[in-house]
Amino acid sequence: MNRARTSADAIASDYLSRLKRALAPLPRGRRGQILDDVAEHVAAARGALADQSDGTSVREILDRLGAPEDIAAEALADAPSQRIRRQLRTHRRAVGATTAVLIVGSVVAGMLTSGSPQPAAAQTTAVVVPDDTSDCAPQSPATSGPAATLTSKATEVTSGTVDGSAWSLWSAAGKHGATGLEDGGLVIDGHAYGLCPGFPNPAELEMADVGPTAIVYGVVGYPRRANVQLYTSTVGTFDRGRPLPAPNVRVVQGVSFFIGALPRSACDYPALELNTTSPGVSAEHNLGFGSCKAGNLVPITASQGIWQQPPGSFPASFPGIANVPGANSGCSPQSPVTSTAAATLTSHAVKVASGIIDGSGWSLWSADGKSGATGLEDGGLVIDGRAYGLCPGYPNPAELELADIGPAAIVYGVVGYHGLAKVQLYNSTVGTFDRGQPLPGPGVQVVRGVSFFIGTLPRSACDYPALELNTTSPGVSAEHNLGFGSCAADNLVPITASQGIWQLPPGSFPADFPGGGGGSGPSSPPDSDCSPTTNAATSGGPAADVTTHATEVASGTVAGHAWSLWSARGQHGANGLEDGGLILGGHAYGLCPGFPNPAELELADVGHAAIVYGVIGYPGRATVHLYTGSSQSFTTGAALPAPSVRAVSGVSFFIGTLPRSACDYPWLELNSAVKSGSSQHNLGFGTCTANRLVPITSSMGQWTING
Amino acid sequence: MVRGDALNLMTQMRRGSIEFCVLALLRDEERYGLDLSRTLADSGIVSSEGTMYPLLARLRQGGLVETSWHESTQGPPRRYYRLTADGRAALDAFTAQWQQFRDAVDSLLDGGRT
Repeated sequence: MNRARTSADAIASDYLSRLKRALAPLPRGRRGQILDDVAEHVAAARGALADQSDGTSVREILDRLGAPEDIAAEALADAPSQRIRRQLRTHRRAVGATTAVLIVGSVVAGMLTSGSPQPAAAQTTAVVVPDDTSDCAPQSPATSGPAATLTSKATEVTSGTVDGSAWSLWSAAGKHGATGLEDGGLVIDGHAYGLCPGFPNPAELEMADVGPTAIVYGVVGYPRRANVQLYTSTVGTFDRGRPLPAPNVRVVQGVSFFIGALPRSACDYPALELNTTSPGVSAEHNLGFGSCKAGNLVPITASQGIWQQPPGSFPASFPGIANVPGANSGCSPQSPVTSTAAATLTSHAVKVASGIIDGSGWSLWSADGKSGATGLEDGGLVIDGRAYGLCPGYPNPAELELADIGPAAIVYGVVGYHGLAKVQLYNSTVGTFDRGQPLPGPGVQVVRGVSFFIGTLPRSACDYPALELNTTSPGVSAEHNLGFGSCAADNLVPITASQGIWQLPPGSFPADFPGGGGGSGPSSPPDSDCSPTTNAATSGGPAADVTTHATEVASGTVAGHAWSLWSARGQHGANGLEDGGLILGGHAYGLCPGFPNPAELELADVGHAAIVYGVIGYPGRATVHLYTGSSQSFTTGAALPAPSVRAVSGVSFFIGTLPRSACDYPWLELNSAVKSGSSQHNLGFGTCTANRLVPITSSMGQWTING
Repeated sequence: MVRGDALNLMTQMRRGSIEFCVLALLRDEERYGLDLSRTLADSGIVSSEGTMYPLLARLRQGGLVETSWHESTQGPPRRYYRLTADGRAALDAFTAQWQQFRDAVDSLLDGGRT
């Protein structure tokens, strides 16, 4: 029976995800057994409830089960810890090696236009072509149906089990090859699911929200057995994020069919990167997914691909396409300043993100049928049950709204460039690009491939006649100045003036240009910005990456590793250190998360215990405190060992170890203080890779400047 | 002996005997995970229901229990656990040793009071 995904489902799913993470050191078989058992426990206990969607009752079930970490501790108690640790490290090294090979092997050989891959001339030498029948139409519906709807008109061609569920693959009667499979479909636990996303790609993938973990399956239309790799990704890119477990692949009707389970719920994968290599040829696809619904396929909302690639070649970018704003980032008509009931927005949009701001719950909604920045701008924000627009009506790559909700202003907006942006806000003067007093950096997260930011300002929305919005996305910056009219409680403050320049070099924010004002106000700390952003994926490289353009300014040892700190030649203070970097155990690591905070921190997955280091950009020697953190909150968790702090180049450099692996810290809280000010930062971290920095996926900070 | 030692002793005793408590619950009938974990948690043998599942995984891996699926009138199918021959032999051996040990300790404790 199909049912809508409820908050109770989400609570249970989150619990199982936590358990899966906590059990990660265990061998796969044992881990899966415990996960299955606990999932069954939850399902059985919920089955006895009068209302299975009652979140409170589900929480009680989970409370009785106990913390996932406690279950994991029990499981690990009798496991040979050395063996498990070694397996974990080996696995992570293997992942790193795979990535490196792919990067080295990348050949940029194609051009892409949205949704219409055009193999370049250089690619036509490939002799393997997709099965000429691999196109499919019409698109399979997202909703599942009784098995008989499929099996009555198809033939079973193979079967198996995945994640405890029985599946069988069916080929449409009278058809063969990829077309037979795509016009047929899959039966999982008695329900039929389609296998035709409706895009003419050689590789098709579907993601099913069946059980606590996603099931992915699909067809690679090239002849013979394919190697299939899956990664988390960002919609509209060909980014390879976290590698995902490789699905099982079988040759069926001359082509490859694959099926497997992902570590988390189908609701947790907004985009996937699908890389396949069949004998003699590779194909690369990026798929975006919409809202999940239990028991159904997750609808595919975006798809792009390039194929006829040399084997193992998966271009991450395409010549001629820089990071430009989404082609659809303009918005009109302008959103009204008056807020409305939430339903006026939510009835025609999909929730894509949510959180808490200044004690109020917020959710971000993307307009139905739209993607990227346009989806968000034609959607909007719900705060405390009221809907607010996100379309100032100007065709800028970065949009900002100022809401008069509560005693502190709320600002939010979209940066339409791909990837995670750093967002700087300043007081300003209308019609200039002056940077006045720096304002607290909002929290930023990637949603639908672009950046969404939200934060509070220190004072009422009525107190900001103008704001300067500076953003830096991967490879590009944008600068905007916005003027605001009269405030009205619980409404947006109308934008009365707007100007911007974009496609700027990263970190370049001209203070004057034709038509603009001039002069820049103080920004403090004066030299704490850094650009370009450190790239976690390329960290851990040869020491010469740093030492050839920098001067050693400090050295020591941490956790048995020798380290030396280097300041970029020609620069000084925090900038010098951030544009320089750290050499740790003979390898180069950056020191520039790319966020304009007075305090910068990096988390390195080097050895069994995480290494953290960073710079506090205030003058003088700082005190530095580290805590475990939580998602986009300044709430401090468990206190972590204080790092060693040294005064270097007039600012503070700190370095230390944490008790556990770098993989065990999804969130950190960094608090620092000097005589002239203090700062709080919350940092979110992505997937760890041995001997590399852990990528920073989220950052927000607030700081004070005394005097 | 300090209080912490006594607490540690209880932890060790639980750890040493809990697997056999599970086997004992399965001596006469098959039970499913939720039923087993609730019974053990309610008796205070485990601190939380979830910590029993690693134990069940160990018992399965060790061949002392085996499982089968049963339809349920309430909710999804349930995985039922039952003793294997090895599990029953292990339970019988533990029961004999435990009774011998318990009697010896009881005797000493009773003697200490008189």
